[in-house]
Amino acid sequence: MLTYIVRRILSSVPVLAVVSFVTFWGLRIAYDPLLKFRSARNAATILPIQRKRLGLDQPIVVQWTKWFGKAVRGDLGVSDRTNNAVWGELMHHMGTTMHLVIWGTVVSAIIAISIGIYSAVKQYSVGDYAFTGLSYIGIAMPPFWFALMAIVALVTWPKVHWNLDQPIFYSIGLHGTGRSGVFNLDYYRHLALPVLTLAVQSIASWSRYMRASMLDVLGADYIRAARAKGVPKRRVVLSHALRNALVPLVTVMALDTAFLVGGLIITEKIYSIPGTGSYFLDSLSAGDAPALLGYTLLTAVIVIAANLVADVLYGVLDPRIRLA
Amino acid sequence: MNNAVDTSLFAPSGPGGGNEAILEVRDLCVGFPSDDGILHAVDNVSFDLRANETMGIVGESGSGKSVTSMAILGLLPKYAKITGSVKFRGEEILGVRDKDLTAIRGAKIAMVFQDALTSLNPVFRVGDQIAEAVSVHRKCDRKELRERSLELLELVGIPNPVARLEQFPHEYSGGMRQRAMIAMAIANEPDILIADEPTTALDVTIQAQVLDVLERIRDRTSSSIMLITHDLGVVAGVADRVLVMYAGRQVEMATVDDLFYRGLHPYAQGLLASLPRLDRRGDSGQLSRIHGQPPSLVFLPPGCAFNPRCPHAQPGVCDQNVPLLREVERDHFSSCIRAEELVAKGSES
Repeated sequence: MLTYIVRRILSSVPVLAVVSFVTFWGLRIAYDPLLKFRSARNAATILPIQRKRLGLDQPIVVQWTKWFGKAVRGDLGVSDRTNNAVWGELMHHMGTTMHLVIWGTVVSAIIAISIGIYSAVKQYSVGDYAFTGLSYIGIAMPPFWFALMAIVALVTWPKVHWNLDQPIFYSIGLHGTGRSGVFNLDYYRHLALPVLTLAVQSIASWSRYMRASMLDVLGADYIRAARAKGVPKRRVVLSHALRNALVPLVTVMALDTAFLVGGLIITEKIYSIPGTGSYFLDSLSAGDAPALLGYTLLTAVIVIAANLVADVLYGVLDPRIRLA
Repeated sequence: MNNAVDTSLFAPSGPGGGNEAILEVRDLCVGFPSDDGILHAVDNVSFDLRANETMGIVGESGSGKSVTSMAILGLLPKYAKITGSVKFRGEEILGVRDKDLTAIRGAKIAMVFQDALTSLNPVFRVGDQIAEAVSVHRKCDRKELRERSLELLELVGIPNPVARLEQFPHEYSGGMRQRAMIAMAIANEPDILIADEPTTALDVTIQAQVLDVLERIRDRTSSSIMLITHDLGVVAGVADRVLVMYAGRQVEMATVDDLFYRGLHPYAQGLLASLPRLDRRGDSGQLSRIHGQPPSLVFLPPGCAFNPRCPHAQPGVCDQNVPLLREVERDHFSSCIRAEELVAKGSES
């Protein structure tokens, strides 16, 4: 198992190299690193100096090699926008995003798996049809629209309607002014809406996967054999079927979660949460190439890591694919 | 359809008689709704399983053998329409709540399935799966469970059982998987063991070993075995009595000797004639066969379901009413309406 993980990590380096090179190249086409010097009065003298300082006189492959060499050692350069080390900023913002990702994933997984099991066991029941309809709606709603509706319905309306001093749920940030920590109600009142926004989508799609996977497993011979042994139905479903049904779901969940880490752009923006998504959007509008490069590399690393986690979990759930 | 069989027909008699019936199946019908209409998978099947006997149920694919056995254990899907009666030791078990059946399944009536690879849960250790068969029916501690599992694996002849206990089904060979299935089925020393094509997926050598295990276990635990198979060789080897099914109906029920030497129903005769024989070679060197195809279970031919393929079929006789299974000779039942006629004709020539 350990050899396998090490091998997978090493083999991911070329993938990261390609990803970062394409980004590097694209950013060089899209942004001019010398832009802020061009309008200077002494542009003619400054430009060659800056070009040499930034290494722009060298071929792009050489520039990228230098950047990548530093990047693998944890040095992602300095942000053009804030003049802080990109690595530190990314880690800081990711810390914030992880609040949403962890809560969102845990809540979604528990609810989606429960709905999936229910829908499969009670296939074609009223409940199953209801969840099917709801999940289509959940998948169809764009997160920005849902987020705005959630603010109207859960924040603004109750506050106005019941004349509250403070809304029940907040729609800005993760903490109230001067508050921090996770063991207080304030945190959860802030967390509720963003987590709801991303959970609705995840639950909608994961519960469909779970239902399909569970139906597949429930028709298997070993389920019939377990019932023939006299195992009660509840235990057949929750022990014999569940573990088998989770195998295909694990990949989907791991990959979706990976995208959440880097991709909560809209949700974070709407709820003013300073996570990686907000960081990406701010860097993008500022043309902050080092920050964007660092962000892309981090996202790639997370997707690759999530894949690895999915493969390892596979082996834990299913002994037939246990890896050497 | 409403041709109920006279239950007095099954009063214990004949060779091996005197044993009481521990499983009484009466007028069992199983239908599945399909787009074209009701599919009659099992049509009016009645039989007794006597104590400590091995009863073979023979028929081709789709003749209702497996569905019969699954109906007995209540393992059919909900949309199956089941009527009739199944009594285990005098108590009705057909149509009772699933909850009440779990106490019987595995403990009193156990089942061995055809495909052992897909019938073992791939994600659990074989030892745990065997232990579960024990633990769902009676409380016992871990150590006890382990010892029992070990004992069972030894009983079915799995070498190196201590190591095998910890392995997963995919680490077992085909024959060993089937043995593990048998170990699971006999874990609670059931009164009835239903073996649904237990040897079909195995090669001949392993087949013989598995059948040997079944016989040994029957003698040890004095249980009854219902052996479902399409292999007449297997039946000849281990069964005491045989029930032949065709298109969901019973066509013949007899002791093995009676069936093999004095078969009464043309379908059963056809089946036996189609077996390759070393001592008798046909003129052309070809195997004899039953002409035609098995009928659709949705649109059964009128009268005897076998009449379109039957060499002895008489228009106006065989295609009128569904023939009932009846005792033609002592403890020898046939549903052929012309059975006596054919016997007489046979003894003439």
